[in-house]
Amino acid sequence: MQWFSEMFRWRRRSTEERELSEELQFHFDMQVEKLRERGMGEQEARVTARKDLGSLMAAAESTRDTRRFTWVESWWRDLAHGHRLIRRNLGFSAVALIVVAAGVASNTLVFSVFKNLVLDPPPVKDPERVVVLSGKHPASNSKGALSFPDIEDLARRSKLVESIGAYQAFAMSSSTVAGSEGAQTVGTTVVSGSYFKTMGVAPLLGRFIEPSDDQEGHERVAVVTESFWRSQLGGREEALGETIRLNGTLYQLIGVMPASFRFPVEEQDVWLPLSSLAQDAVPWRLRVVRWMNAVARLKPNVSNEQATAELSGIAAGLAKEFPDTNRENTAIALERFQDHLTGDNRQPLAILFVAVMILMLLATVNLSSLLLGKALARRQEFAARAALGAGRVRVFRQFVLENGVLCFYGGILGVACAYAAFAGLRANPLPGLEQLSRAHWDIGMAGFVLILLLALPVAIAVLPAIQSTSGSLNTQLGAAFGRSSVSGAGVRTQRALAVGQVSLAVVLCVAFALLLRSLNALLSVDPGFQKDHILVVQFALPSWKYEGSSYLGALEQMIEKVRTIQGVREAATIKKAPFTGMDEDIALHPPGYEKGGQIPGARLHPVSPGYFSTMQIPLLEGRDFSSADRRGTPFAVIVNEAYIRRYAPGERLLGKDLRTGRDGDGPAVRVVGIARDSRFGRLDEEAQPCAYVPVYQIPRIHIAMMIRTETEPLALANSVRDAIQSVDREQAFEEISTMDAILSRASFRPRLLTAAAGLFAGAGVVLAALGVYMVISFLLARRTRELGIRAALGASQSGVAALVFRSTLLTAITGIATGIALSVLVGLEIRSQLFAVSAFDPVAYGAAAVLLLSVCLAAAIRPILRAQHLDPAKILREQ
Amino acid sequence: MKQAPPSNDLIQGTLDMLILKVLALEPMHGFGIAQRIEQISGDRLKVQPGSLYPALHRLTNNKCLLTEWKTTENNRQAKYYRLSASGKRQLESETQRWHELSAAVALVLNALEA
Repeated sequence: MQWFSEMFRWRRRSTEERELSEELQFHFDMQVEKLRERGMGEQEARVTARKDLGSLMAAAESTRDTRRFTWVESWWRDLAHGHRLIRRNLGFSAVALIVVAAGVASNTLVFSVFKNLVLDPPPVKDPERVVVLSGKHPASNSKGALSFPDIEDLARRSKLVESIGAYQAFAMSSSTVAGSEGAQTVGTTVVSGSYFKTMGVAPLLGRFIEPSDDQEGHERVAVVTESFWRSQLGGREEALGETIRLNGTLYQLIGVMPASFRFPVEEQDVWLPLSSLAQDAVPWRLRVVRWMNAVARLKPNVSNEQATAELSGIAAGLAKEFPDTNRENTAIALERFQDHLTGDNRQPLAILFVAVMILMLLATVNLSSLLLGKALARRQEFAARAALGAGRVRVFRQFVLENGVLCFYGGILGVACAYAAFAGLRANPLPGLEQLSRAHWDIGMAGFVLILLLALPVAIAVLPAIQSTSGSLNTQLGAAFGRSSVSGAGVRTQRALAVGQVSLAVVLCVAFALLLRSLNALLSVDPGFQKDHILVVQFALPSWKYEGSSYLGALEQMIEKVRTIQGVREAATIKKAPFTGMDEDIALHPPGYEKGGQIPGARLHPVSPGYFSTMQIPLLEGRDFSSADRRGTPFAVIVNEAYIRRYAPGERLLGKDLRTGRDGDGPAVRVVGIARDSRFGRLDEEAQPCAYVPVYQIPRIHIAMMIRTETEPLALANSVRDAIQSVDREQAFEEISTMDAILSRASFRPRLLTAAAGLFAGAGVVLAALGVYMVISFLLARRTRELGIRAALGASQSGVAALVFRSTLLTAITGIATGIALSVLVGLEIRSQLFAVSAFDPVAYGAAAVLLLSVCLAAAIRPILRAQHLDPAKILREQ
Repeated sequence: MKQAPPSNDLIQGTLDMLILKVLALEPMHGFGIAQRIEQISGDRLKVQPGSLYPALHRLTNNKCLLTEWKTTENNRQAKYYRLSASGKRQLESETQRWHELSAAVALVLNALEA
């Protein structure tokens, strides 16, 4: 029966509203008449009368939505009113617009990156069944490459794996293609025949590479990415079947993969069958050449653990069958494809997402309190409405629509900014974070933005609507008449909102401070070598290209030639430059090491003589390698301090023999020197045990030549290239850069994260300052009358200022205290990103507290000064 | 948050009281009530329609006033208010309270002066 009486009330209310309208109209007419009697002109009289009655009549009119179809009319009226309000307060509107736009833009950006990288499954069929395989050395956690014969055996012998695809990106260094645009450098990946089938993605056009294509002697085919097809081949369907020229060889185009398929790397352009890679370029058919990566599709309902166990078992079997090549490689590591893609980005992205949400919340609270202030200025209008029975809901709706207008425009602006940012990221991928360029628009994003834009005005309007229509008409009208209620709900709410803003700002500041101190610690880590003025040239020297020892001869010549270049102080090679990627591990047993304990593993670094002096790594004992250490002479090794610390603490290893092999039963190597620790993997990781061996005894394909220069390293790049190519004209280079650049790339992610956190913290502080300023002004305005009386009764001006000061302090301290409490939670969450800094670092918390306190006090200065200059007489007169 | 300050406006409970007092003499419409208050106070007390009508509405809602639509002298339709029995009682108690309040304020002012 409730709805029945509801309907009656509704009808009664509509009658009341109609009557009020007529009453007001009557009042208006009488007022006009009276003014005319006094001699005013008709027009002027109407205008004057309207001034008195205008807002009230508007209120009466607009609550008169008795009939169903005026529902639309009143929505329209509210929206129009919203526009009018914006125009009326351009300053406020501009600020609010920017706040909304910034909030929406940053949220959209961060969410889309978060979603595309972390939430979305990779665009392959049944992504949970796809895993990435790598070789795992039993002594360490590092992931190593696999050899093609091993991969084939794994595929053949496994019962839990449906198919395995092998791949290697950048197989052909600096491959060029002659397309419609002339010679271009493209990213080439060689893949085995089952790669595409394992990934399970249908081609956009044509077909993908199949096992039948991956046969020696088969006609050469190629598959390209959609963007390559569009930019280089004009996006024509007829391009299928045409040939493209890659490094001088012709390949027939058989398929185009969709734009979403950019595996294994972002900079992917062309996929070629593995068999098109000649053995003399890379002898990938040899079991000992560990050069490839592998991706596998598990059979349904097979868990990762089961697969890992089975594959490792197969690997162990292979180690027994082929002891010469596989003795060390007895385990396989599995990684979920999704995790492989996001890499280490998951945590930082999650942090950024939370931070930007906090900022959005701050902005919402800020706008809400701004609106509250404005709304309370219209309290007469709302008092009338409430008196007329216009429900709270109605007023709420009015607020939502009026603000909706502002949020809508702000949202559009924000979305436009985000879109521009996407385009920017795609055009200029960030180093080390290329996956961010994947961020794009999709239904999920559009949905998120829509929800944001709808929720924002609602969230902003809630409190002001409640406040403006709060039951006590007494307070409303009382306030309208100037009788101030000191602890009125309005002030309490405003203060609570300000406290909220301050605490959120504190959280953002603490997060930033922690990340900043962590970054600082990271960047001041001593890498153990002299990092400036080092040119790093990375290339692959195919050892099998040369017969016998001419490989070593070639390398030696290259080093010599480079050394003679003017401006080069020293040059030496190592397999992989520090901070550039995958390492190789071996087992190295010190004398007397317990069998059955943890296998003593060390990173293997084949180096040429002079590495230590080039990198200025001190040799604590013994000697560096020389050209005397080559094939035929006893195996030599130089270990670092970390090795001794971990496996032979306190012992003197110089001159002793270490045994290789998993169980210490391999060939012995003699320790000829002890080196100071230096870092290779990550800046935030301790120095790992390292074993340096002469590259002339243990050669490798990958070479990184480290060249110490007198002046600017890159200036010598061309000379170096020429020098090396004078020994082998076809030598291609993978990368030429400086050690500084490599190190800064390694720290790019923490730097980006910290910068973003700083941006958010800055914005948060500004908003909080605004919020405090508003609540203090508001408080002041409310209590102006009381303060005026106090001043009139002789209270000193400073007393008044002290009052405001105390109020500010209270707000600030409450906010900071809550903020610190919340920050502790946040600190625990971001612990994984912190280096050498505790989650409770007092300096960070202290700095944030001091900052916010000073900002709050500064925000209160202007209101305090105004309080100082209160003119009591004027106030009392106004009241 | 500034609005044009109305001059000499009334504290809310006072307004109720004045409305009831005016209507104690004779039933009247809203405009007339405002005019009468202004007139009697010698133009010192101006009642804003924004306060008047909500007050009238409220007093009607809690049964202090009764309403009736009638025709005025100029042949217009207007809503007339008149005092009910409970309204009369309300007027008495309000008047009583007002006198007590003004006495108390006078005491305070005298004390401070001394």
